[in-house]
Formats: sequence, structure tokens, C-alpha cells
Amino acid sequence: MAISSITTSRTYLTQQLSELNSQLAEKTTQLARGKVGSTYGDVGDRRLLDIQLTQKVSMIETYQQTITVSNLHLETLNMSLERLEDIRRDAKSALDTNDFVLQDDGQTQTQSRAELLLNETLNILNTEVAGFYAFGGTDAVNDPVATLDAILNGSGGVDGLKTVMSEYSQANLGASNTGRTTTSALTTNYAGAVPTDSTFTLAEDGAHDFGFDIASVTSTLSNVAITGPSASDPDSVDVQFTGQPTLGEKITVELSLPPDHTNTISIELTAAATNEAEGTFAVGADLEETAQNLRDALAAEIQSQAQTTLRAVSDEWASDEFFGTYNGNEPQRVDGPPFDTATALTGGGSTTVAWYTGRNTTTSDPRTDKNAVVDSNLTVNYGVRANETPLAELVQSLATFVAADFSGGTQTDEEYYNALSANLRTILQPPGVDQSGIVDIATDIAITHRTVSLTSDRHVQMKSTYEGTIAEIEGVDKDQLAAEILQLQNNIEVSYRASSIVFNLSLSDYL
Amino acid sequence: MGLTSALNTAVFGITYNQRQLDVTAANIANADTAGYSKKTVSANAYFDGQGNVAGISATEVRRVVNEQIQSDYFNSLADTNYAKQIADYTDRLDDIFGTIDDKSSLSSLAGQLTSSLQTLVNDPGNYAAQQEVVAAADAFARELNSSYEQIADLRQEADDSLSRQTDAVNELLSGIEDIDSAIRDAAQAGVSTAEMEDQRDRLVEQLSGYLDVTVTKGANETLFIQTADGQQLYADNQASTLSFSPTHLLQPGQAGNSVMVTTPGGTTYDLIAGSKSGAMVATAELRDDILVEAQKQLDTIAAEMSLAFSNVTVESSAATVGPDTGFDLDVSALQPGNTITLEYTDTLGQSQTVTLVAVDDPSLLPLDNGATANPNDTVFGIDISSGTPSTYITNIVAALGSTGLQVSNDGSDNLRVLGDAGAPTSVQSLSANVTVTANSDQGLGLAIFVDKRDTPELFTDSLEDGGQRLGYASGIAINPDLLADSALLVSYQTTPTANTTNDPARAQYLANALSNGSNYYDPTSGIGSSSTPFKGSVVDFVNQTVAFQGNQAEDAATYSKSKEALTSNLAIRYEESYAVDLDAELAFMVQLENAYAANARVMQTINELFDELLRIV
Repeated sequence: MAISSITTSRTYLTQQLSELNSQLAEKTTQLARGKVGSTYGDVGDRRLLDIQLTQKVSMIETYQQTITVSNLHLETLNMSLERLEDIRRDAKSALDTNDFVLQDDGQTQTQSRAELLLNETLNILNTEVAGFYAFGGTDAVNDPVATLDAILNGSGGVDGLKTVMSEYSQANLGASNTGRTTTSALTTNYAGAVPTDSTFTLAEDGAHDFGFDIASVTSTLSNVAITGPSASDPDSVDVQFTGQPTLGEKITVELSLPPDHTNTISIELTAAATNEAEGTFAVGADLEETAQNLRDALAAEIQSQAQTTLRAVSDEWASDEFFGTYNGNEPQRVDGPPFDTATALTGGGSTTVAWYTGRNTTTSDPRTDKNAVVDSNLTVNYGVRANETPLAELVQSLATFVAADFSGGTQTDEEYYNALSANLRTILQPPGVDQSGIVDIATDIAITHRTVSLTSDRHVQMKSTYEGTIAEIEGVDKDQLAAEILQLQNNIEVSYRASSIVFNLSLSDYL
Repeated sequence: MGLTSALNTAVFGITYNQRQLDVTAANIANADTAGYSKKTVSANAYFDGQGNVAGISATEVRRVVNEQIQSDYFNSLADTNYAKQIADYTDRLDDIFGTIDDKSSLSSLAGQLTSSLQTLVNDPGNYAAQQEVVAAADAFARELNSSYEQIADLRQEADDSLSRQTDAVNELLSGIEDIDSAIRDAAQAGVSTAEMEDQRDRLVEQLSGYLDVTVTKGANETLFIQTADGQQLYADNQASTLSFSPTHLLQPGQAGNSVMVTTPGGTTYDLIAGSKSGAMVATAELRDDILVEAQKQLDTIAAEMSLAFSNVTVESSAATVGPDTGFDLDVSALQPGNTITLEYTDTLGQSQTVTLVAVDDPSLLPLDNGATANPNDTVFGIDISSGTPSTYITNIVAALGSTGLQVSNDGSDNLRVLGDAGAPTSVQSLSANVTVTANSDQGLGLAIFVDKRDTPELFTDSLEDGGQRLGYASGIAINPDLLADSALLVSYQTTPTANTTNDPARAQYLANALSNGSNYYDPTSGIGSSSTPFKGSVVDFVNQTVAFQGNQAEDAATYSKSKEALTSNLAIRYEESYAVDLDAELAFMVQLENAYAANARVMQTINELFDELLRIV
């Protein structure tokens, strides 16, 4: 480093001049850049604040980018959910219990409508916004929901809904379509040629959840003894005639329905002179003939109920299992073949089409699947899984309805149609619930959307505040600076003149 | 009293006038010569018995120098040069750490890294978003490398500069030696030494710039020069010799050589330790303290940034044996530098924190509490060189012997720490902080940065070989695996099933790691103190560092400016005290001319009187 040399006389004057000059240069640079300096050393004591604020501003810019994307996601979700809610309402009208009109292709008109709606639903559930599958939780990388064809008919060697439903109906109805019950032939004892007593037995074919379960048999029939059902499965009931019943007396058989056997249907048969009326059996010439009549009427009624009510319930059970994969549940299949004698369910994860392939880990709140960091301490959640109950139920009811086969067009088919459509409508709007689950999801999303847009507004304000402070710290007052420069310029000019006078003043000039 | 005596007086006057004119002419001639001080000459008049002037003798030429101001000025020169040197380097440091609006400054890059990670959280599968993170991390590592390199260059420069300064001081001292001996001879001969003293002052002035020396005058106008703490630099016309051996490659954290002085008597002492101010002290201080501290800050940033991403917490599981409860902890993943933290309540009811630091080299044990930045913990070093968890546990059991806790192996080589219901002591928490060794299946952590000083290796903050942290900023680099496959930012699991490419869990973990604000930072980096170390997020620490450097530069610049102002004031006063004022000299010349003319006139009158007298006779 050079040691400043002390030359004689007046050096300080020039030193001061050069200092003025460098000040002028510095101020001119400040004016040109609009900043007090280039390094944080120049900024002054508030430099840490300056650094932090600058960083905050850049963070806010990131948050704003995030918000732009999140808004896009949220708006898409919002619109999709609105449409899904519309579809749910349309689906209720599509599942019209009274409108059994078969088309040439074997579908009912209502099934065709349902298929259209199902197609649209699946499409909506596969909505993708720039790589984000709105209904796939967070990390779906493909369509989270399988195609209509794959769902109904299976694909890639694994079974679809139709197969699953068929297996369940085999298991529930049994080979003889009697709901896994048997009604034995009559056993009659005679005193000579006169029958003294006649007995038939209604029994379940094993201890399992499939088919009907005999809940109770009550009777007002005279001369008829009912034995059973006992408390333990498989139940069986003996009906023994020891005489003729009186006309108008009744027997009621209560059968409970799978899978949980809490709902029952009851078959009521009244003793009558003829069996022409529905729900009657004819009192015959002797007790054996009457017993035979009751047995036949009961067997026919059980078979009819099995093919309609039980089949509808079986379809619902099958589709519950097929679509109930929420939180990683494995769909259960009937353990078979043979299916018509099956007694248990088995895990069907590897043999059944996974209709939903998005995020499916165990969670208590699927909203938390998808996070967006919109502020330093604010993370909004808007994950939606297509297999959440309200959405799955919509797909389930439509798909089950479409998969059902009414093509026979018989009375039994129509009754089956009635039973199934009534059941599925209940799924779409459970009794006692005012608001559909889809609306609940839409509400969650709308609240999140609101939070995000409020945050966005706040960001805009904060950013401008921060930038104001940064400008205050880093910036210069241009007017003041301009005035200072003018003053400096003045000072320098005056100093030049003064120096030149001083340097020129020498006595030698005057001697 | 007669004519002769009057004539004599006039002759004396003329002779003296002549001498004065000589001096004045010399003053005028040298008015612009650097360091030339105004010379004066005065006369002594001798009288005979009758009161007549018997003779006038001019004294030797003297300098007009205010020595008080001179000494103040010299002293302040040392301070000014010290301050200037520091300000010069810290300004460059400030530049290195980042300038305003500079997108490549450390604080701005740290911000970019945070932003890019947060963007990735929202869109983990996006290749561009992943690349953005990789690019930001890479830029950050490179900025650390280059900043570290620039500071290392500054240190090297300071070392070279110290070498040049040593040579310069040696030259000055030998110059002073030469002149001093000439002055001594002249003084002994009674000859004027004014001119030589001017020259010597110039040398002393330069010397004062390098060191804060104390200069006193010895016998025969010779000098005695001492360092600030009184060591001899120059005495009895003999200069001491300065020696300095430059270091060709200053290693991280290694101090350079000091400047040694050998006195003519053969004593050797450390010049830098013996001085307080001056350019040389500043250079040495920069080389060994200020720049090293800046490097340490970069190392701390690099280390903490690395660890934030690569370390994961191993949680313990609750354990109960009889009445005592505590925790079991898997210690198998420990690597050198990794820690186990244990919080417990001792028998006196006081909360205690123990940090167990894993080391590979048992010679480092026992560790000081300063091995971690946390001021509230007790540190024990644990030898893990065996590589066997059961041996780790044996060592931990020995280390925790005095805590009153029941420390044992749970039988499956897990560390079991239980309170003692009888003592009573209780355990609040037990967890380990370990560095992941693979890119997946070890939790959400990912070593985004590795240490590439030799071959790319994991940074675990080990204490071996002086600490892996030392100089890490020069070797921090982005993990080559990550560079080759940015999807590692998302895929943290491969078995039993791979997580999907849209899973934000790892991105979230990495983003949180940067903004998590409960880390303590090594106070030896100059930020925070050992009792209250800086606590905050990594990004906060980066900001703090940049601000610290800005602050340091500004303080140094302010100090330098004020010193300079003081010195320049003293310089002006000093200069005024000795400088030749041409006007005064010229006026004096006119005066002399008149005096000369008057003396001549007296002689002429006496001459005329003699002529008259002789004509009469």
C-alpha cells in the first residue's frame, strides 16, 4: 500500500478537491442506479432486514406461483364436483323403478341413460390438470379410475363387476335359485289309508352369510306344529300337520337378507279354499294334501323372492365389495368355484379389477393428500379420492345398475329390476340425509378456495409493503440527491477557482 | 569606538546576511521538495569591552519542525494504515458474500433453493420443477466453492503482502541505519544535520505506516525505535532484521507464519504479537482471523445446509420395565458426527440434556461440551469404530454412568434408557439424528450435497482429522446421483413398493428442513456467542452471515474514514509546521536585501569617512 507522500504546501487543498470529486462520482452513480450502493455494506444498519425482506419477496413470488396452480386445481375440482352432483340427481331419475322398457339390445332405456351418466362420471373422475389428477389423491400418475369397459367386464385377466356380481348371485341364490334353502318333500304317517300327520322341513344348506336365513316362522294355523328355527345355524324348521287348518288362518315365514341379515322379508300364506289369490294355499281333501299345498306354495314363493329381492341384495353386496376399496380395503370375492355352494369370502385384490388406482393409503381425511404451501405457515389441503364414499357410491349405483341383466323381460326380471333400482336409489340418497356427500366435498373445496384467494390478496399487499421498505432501505431520494449533486458541483467549481487563486498568488509576481 | 569597529560590524552583518540569503534561497529552491522542512539560521553577536561588536557567528542551520505534532502524526499513520488495510479487504469480502440485486449472492441462492423446493411440493412429478431444485442446489454449492476460493485467494494475497511488507520494513530500517550513522558523524563534527534529519523523518514516516513504533532520540541525534510493547527494532545505530517465510498454500483454518525479528544482539521475537497497529498487523490479522472467520461462516453454512437435508431423526420406542419407564433406540445407523439426544430429569429434579456424539477415532475422547453448538447440553463422545451396535451401547452405558439413569442393551442391540423410580430420575425423550447412507428406503432425508474434496463422500460432520466441517465449503458439491437422476427428490422408497412419482413427502421434508428454525450454529464462526449461539433456520443463518459481512465492511470503512480524517488533519498541521512559505521567504529576502544594502551603505559611508580623513591628513 502506498504511503501518501507529504509534498509541500497546499497538498491538503488538492486532497480535499479530489475528495469532493469522488463524492460527486459516488452520488452520480447512486442517482443512476437509484440505490445507495452495491454492497450490503453500503446499505446501512438495516441490511439484515433488507436481506430478509428481499428473500420474503421472492418467497411470496413462489407462493403466488403456487397459488396460481392451486387456483386452477381448485376451480377444476369445483366445477367437476358441481357436475357430479348434477349427475347424482340425474342418476336418481334414471334409476326409475317404474320405467321398465326393454330395448333391442337387451338393456332397459333407463340402463342406457345410466350408462351415459356413468361414462361421464368416470371421465370427470379422471380429470387431469397439468399432471395433477384431481380425483387421485395426490400422487396419481395415471387415470385414477378404470374405464367403463374394464370396470364392467374386467381387463388384463382380472375380473370386472359383472363377473363379481354373477358369482355373488350364484352364491346367494344357490343352484336351485332358492336362496340356499331347501324345502323337503312331505313325510306322511298313515293310520290305514288315513294320513295321521304330515311333515315337511324348510332348511338352510349350511352355516354361512349367503342366501336367506330363516329368522322366524310364526303360525296361527290350527293343527299345525312349528318346530324351530333353533338358535344355531344352519336353521331348519319343521312344519307338521296333524289336522286341517281353518280357512283364513295364516303362517308367516321371516327370511333375513345377506350380507348382515338385519333386513328381513316375510312370506305370509293364508289358508283358503283355492290358491288362486296371491299369498294363499288351498286347504285340500285331507291334511296330507293341505300340507303338500302349503309346501309347494312356500317353495314357489321362496324361489320367486330369491330371484328378485335376494338377487338385488346380492348385486348390491357384490358392488359394495367391488367399489368399497377406500383406505386400501381389499375387495372380497366369493370363495369358489363352485360358487353355488360357497360358504365364505376370500380376498380378491389380485383377481379383481382395481376400479380406483389413485392414492389409497389409510387416512382419516383424504383432503390432506394434496398439499399446497401458500404461505410460510399456511398449507392448504385439497386432495380428493375418487373412491371416497360419496363419489364411490355414485359410480357404484350407476355401474351396478348398468351391469345388471334384465334382458329376459319376464315378470321376474321386472320385479328384480324394481328391487334393484329401489335399493340403488337408497344408496344415492340415504334416508334422513339432507345433503349429499358430494356437496360436503364441494364445500371443503370451496372453503379451501376461499382461503387461497384471501392468502393471495394478502400476499399482494405484503409484497408491496415489503418492496416499499426495501426501496426505502436500498433506494435514494432522487430529488435530494439531485440537489446535493448541484451543491457539490457548485462547491467544486468554487474550490477550483479558489485554489487557482491561491496557487497563483505568489509574492514573486509582485517583486 | 571607531570607524574600524563600525566597519567590522558592517562586514559581520554582510557576512551574516549572505548566510541568511543562502538559507532563504535554499528554502525557496526546495519549496516543492517532498519532506523538505523550512531551515533557519540565527546569529550570535560578540561584544568587546567597550561594547563594540567583536564578531557575529551564524549558528548551524536548524529545521523548523514541531516534533509534538510530528510524533502524533506518525502514530496516527499506523492506525490509519491499519484501518485502511482492514477496510480494503473487508470491502472485498462483502462483495464476495453478495451484492444487492445479485441473483447469485448466497442469500438469494438460498432463497431460490427454498422456493424451488416449495414449488416441488406442489408438483413433485414435474421434471422441470425437479431440475429447478437441482439447479438451485448446484448453484448454491458452486457459489460456496467459489466464495471460499476467493477468500482463500485473499488470504494468500495477505500472506504475499506480509512478505512484501517485511522486505519494505527491512529496507526502511537499513536506510535509517545509513542516515543515522551519517547524522551521528555530523553531530559529532558539529555540522548541521538538518537536511539528513529531513530524510530520516521521511523513512520513519513510512515505517510508522507499517507498524506502530515508538521513536525516541538517543545520543548524538540518533534514533531508538521500539515496537508497541517495547521490543527493540532499532537501537545504537543497528537495525534488527525482520524475517518472514511465506506459506505457499494456506490450508483451511491453518494460521500463516508470523514475522520474526532478530535483534543485533541475537534475540528473536514475534513482531506481530508485539505490535498493535499498522498495516502489517492488519495484514496478519486479516490472514489469520478475519478471513478465516469468513471461511468458517461458509463452512458452517455448507455443513448445516448439508445436514438439514441428509439427516433424519431415528425415533425411539417406549419401554417399561417394572416401575421404570423409558425408551429403546436403534443405534445401528450412527455414523461419525451423528448424535443421540437424551433429555431426562436428574435426581434433583433438574432437566438435563445429553448429546452423545459418535466418533470413529477414540483418541478424540473425551469431548468438550463445545463439540455441539447447543449451550445447554452435556456432550459425551461415543467410540463407534467397532461398527457393532452392541459395542456402541457398551460405550454409551459407560458414558452415561453418572446420570442416575438405567442404561442398558435391551437384548436386541437397541439402546435402552430407563428412568429410575427409586432415585428418582425420569427420561423425557431419546432420539438419534443420523445421516442417510442411501438415496432411498432410509426415511425422507436425502443427501443433496456431498463432500467431493477427495472422492465424493457423505458429509456426516465427523470430528476426525480436525473435523469434516473444516474447509467443507470448498468441497461441497451436489450429489452426483441426484445430478444424474432428479427423480430422487421424489422417490424415497423402493421396497416393498416404490412410492409414486407424484408423492410430495420427500419434497415436503426437504423444504421443511430449510425453514426449520431450531438449529444452533457454531459460535466460533463469529455469529452468536458460545452462551447464546445463533438459533434459527439455515436460511436465517445465511442471511445473518451476509449481513454480518456487510456490517463488518461498513464498520471498517467508517473506522478507516475517521482515522483518515484525523491523520489528514495532523498531516496538514504537521505540514504547516515545517513547510516553506514562499511568500514569507520572499518577503524575508526583500528584508535581507535591504539589510544587505544598509550594511553596504554603512561600509560605503565609513569608506567615504576614511577617504575624507585621509585627504585631511
